[in-house]
Amino acid sequence: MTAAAAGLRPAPRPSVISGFVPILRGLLFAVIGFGIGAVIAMGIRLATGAQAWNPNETSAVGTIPSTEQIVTLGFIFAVPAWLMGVGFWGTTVRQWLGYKTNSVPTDWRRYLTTSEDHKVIGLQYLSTFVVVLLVAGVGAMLMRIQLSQPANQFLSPDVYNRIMSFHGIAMVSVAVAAVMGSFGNYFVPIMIGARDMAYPRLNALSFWLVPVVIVSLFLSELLGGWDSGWTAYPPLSVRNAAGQIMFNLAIIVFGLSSIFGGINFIVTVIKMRAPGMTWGRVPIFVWSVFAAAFLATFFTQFFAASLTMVLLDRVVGTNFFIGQGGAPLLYEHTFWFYSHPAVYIFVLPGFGMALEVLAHMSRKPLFAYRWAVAAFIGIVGMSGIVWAHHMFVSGMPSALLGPFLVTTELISIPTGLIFLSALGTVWMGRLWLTTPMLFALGFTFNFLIGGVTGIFLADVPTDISLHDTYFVVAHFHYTIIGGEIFALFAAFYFWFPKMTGRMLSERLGKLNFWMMFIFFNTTFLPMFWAGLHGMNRRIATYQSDLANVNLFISISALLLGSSFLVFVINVLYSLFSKRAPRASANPWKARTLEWLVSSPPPVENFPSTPIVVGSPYGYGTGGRPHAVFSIAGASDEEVSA
Amino acid sequence: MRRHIAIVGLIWVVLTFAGLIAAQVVFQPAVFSDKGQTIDGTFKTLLIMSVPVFTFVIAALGYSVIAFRHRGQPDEDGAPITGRGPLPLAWFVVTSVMALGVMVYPGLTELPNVVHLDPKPDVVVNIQGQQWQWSVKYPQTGAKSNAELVLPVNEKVGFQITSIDVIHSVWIPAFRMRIDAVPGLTTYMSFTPTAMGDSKTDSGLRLQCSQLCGTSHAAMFMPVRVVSAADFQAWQTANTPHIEPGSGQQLALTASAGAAKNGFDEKALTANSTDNITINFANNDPGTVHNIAIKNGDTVVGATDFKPGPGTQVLTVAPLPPGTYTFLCQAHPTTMLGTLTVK
Repeated sequence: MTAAAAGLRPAPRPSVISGFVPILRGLLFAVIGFGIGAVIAMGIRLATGAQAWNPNETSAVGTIPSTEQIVTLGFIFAVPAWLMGVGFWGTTVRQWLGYKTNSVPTDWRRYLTTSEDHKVIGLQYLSTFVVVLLVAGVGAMLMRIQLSQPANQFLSPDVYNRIMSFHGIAMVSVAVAAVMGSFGNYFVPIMIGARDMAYPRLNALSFWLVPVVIVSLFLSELLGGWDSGWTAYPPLSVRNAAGQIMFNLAIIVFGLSSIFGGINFIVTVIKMRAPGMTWGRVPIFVWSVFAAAFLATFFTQFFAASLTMVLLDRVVGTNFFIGQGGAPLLYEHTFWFYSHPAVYIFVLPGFGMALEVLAHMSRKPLFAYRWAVAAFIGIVGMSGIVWAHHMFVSGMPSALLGPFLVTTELISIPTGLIFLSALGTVWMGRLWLTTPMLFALGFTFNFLIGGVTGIFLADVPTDISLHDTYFVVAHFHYTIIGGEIFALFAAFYFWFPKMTGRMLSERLGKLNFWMMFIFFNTTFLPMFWAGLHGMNRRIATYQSDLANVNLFISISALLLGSSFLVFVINVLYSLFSKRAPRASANPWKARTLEWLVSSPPPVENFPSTPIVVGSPYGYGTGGRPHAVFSIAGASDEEVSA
Repeated sequence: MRRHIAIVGLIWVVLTFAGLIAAQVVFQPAVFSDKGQTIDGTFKTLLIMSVPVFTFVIAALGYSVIAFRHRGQPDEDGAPITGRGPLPLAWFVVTSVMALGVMVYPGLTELPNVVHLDPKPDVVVNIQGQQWQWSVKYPQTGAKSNAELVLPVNEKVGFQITSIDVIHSVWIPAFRMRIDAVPGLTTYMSFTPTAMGDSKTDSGLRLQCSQLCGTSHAAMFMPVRVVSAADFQAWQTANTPHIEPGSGQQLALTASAGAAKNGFDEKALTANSTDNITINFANNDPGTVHNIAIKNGDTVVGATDFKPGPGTQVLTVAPLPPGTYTFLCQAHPTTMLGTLTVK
């Protein structure tokens, strides 16, 4: 890829090492920053009469471990140091200080430093989270090998719990950021006719906080890992191994990244739309990201606050959640006050993506567009008043059960409107069953099962029995994998030609879809049955009468895992084979703005500001195109799709 | 258009009938409590209500994919149906009525039947969770056990549940009932066991922790047995320790200020195996909660309640076989501990 480009230029080809300089410098700065923080922490300890560092301390309740204090302060200094090293010093801080700024390279090296181009950032997010998805998927495979038979010795209970916890938070981070961070960043500005996001530099900051999160989660294992799941309920998360603090610090940083991203999307969609891009002409995917951005901006801080309180209980000795006056239920409330809206951060962009693909691939206007938008707004509005349905058996006052049952089942009404839009769109269409279309249809089927089974968990009587069983595991995997990850794959297959200028193999794509669809269902459908028959979640072993169903689930899960290999082969073949076909500007003959420019789009996105003159979904009307460019000498027909 | 709608309607009706027949299959394992029967009934009701919704979407989606698919790239666009007419409003009204319906029945109507607490249960059971074992006490008779939970059939049982360390959750699958065990909080649950059985014949009869509580979470369960009233009385008698408080050998133990860090003043105690053992524990650590417990490996032999100092606590246990035991404060198990040697 780079060889061909370099061959055209007289300039010498940059060495591979030079591309990694920003990241290596960032790591070096981070180590130095950590050292400074650690020394300050030790100094404070000495000044208060404590031993600087006691590596052999016990973690008894009532004692405050010096290692955790030192690591926490080191981390706080390491994060800004990393950001400076990886590029913000050269591009941003030097400017504040009045010095000449360093320019970001324009070749492949821009993907490894703080580029402010939303397309670069989108691809940075995408490649990062595809890797996280695959690594966390390997974690799932290890868990299923352990669970293939009862009392299996493959993993110890402690190692199992740690892998389960890592799998949980890594997949939650994929769910939060994979669709919004990558496709949101890459396509929202183009789809509304903007040259970039409203705050390109903030956008780069959002992304470059992400490696901190992932590296910290891995470094946690050096401190014993953490075994409290992604929910990290105290008092367990105050009493377990020191690795827990790395989880808390990492996820607080991830929250910061998420809030920055949310603000950026809100401002971009409000302020950066091209002339004529009225709210009624905004593509549905943009609407969905816009809605999810509100959730990310307003709710993430509650998770960060609860994680901070746990951290303070550990390293400062506060008693938010432990000891006399400690209130463990406080954490559950604040945690779910974010984490329930978070599931809509996961799935709203999934809804938008699926509807987008269904409309273009059915060659039909998106059915009941305004109702779908109203449904998004309804979900955003109601998402903040349903959190306690995660706590029906937590011991909270029983007077709260009825109200939360009511609000939770109310939220099925806007979700039903999404199904109306999906069904109305494919009805009487001309369905082009491409790989992205298959994934969008698979999304609709899977999310139906996820949604219907959700009613059983919203209903208090049945939830008392099903809570924390594999019924719940099956339910949320149907909504997150079956829903959001299928939408992610729809988006990937739909937009890969636009992002890379190369087509993916349809044959491998369809193999990928059918393997994923079949084995996803054979993996997770039996889990409903296992949950009903007494299998609780987050366990390294189970009752022997559940052996057969678990063996079946494990075999299905390994086959589901293998379907991702087909995906990897498809992508690598397309990127690196000389025989992979090149993509035209509009291989799907779709109408939205990104298809009016070359594949991949030019740096400035558009030759001139597009003027939006019609609906993005005006299929079959023979009427106006979605947008035109006012280039002198060219008629509207020539420049529009 | 009319033909398509008719076919989808036909598929929907057929699938719904098939689904309703399939819903008659017993999805639930054997149930052993009155509230469990209500819960299973609610599950069945929801299952039946969800069948037509599920089959409607499957019929419409499946038929569309088959009937409207196009080989290769479509040469023309589909019908420009935008959905601006009354149909979305009708859908909104119908789905809202359905959501409100399922909310009221079986949701709100069955809710009080399941969470209702009996003010005067026949049998009271205290359950205490700790990493990673359960212990049960019957305050009406003084019976207690770390080995199994035994309940009489057809008598109203009221549970009072707490935890001494992290959040656990009391779940007995065969009863379908569950409530968290939260440190610093007492939670309640009540129901009536309706059939006799034990965990050897039904693995659902187990008191399983269902809230992630650390390393051995999966193994934190205790067998449950439902027996006749007579057998229950006999079991309680056999499991009531008949120990005169303060009887037998007298051992003194002291915790001074800062004991949470420094431990007990005494690190080792000695007793003989012929008589009851009484530890007179002086908690001189003002404001800090301690207790005194004796452990044989991971099994708690006896323990006092948690109380802040200053104060005295007396722990009396039946004679112990010769061996080495641990005495400890369960609030500070890694610092406040010592060895009790029985000769």
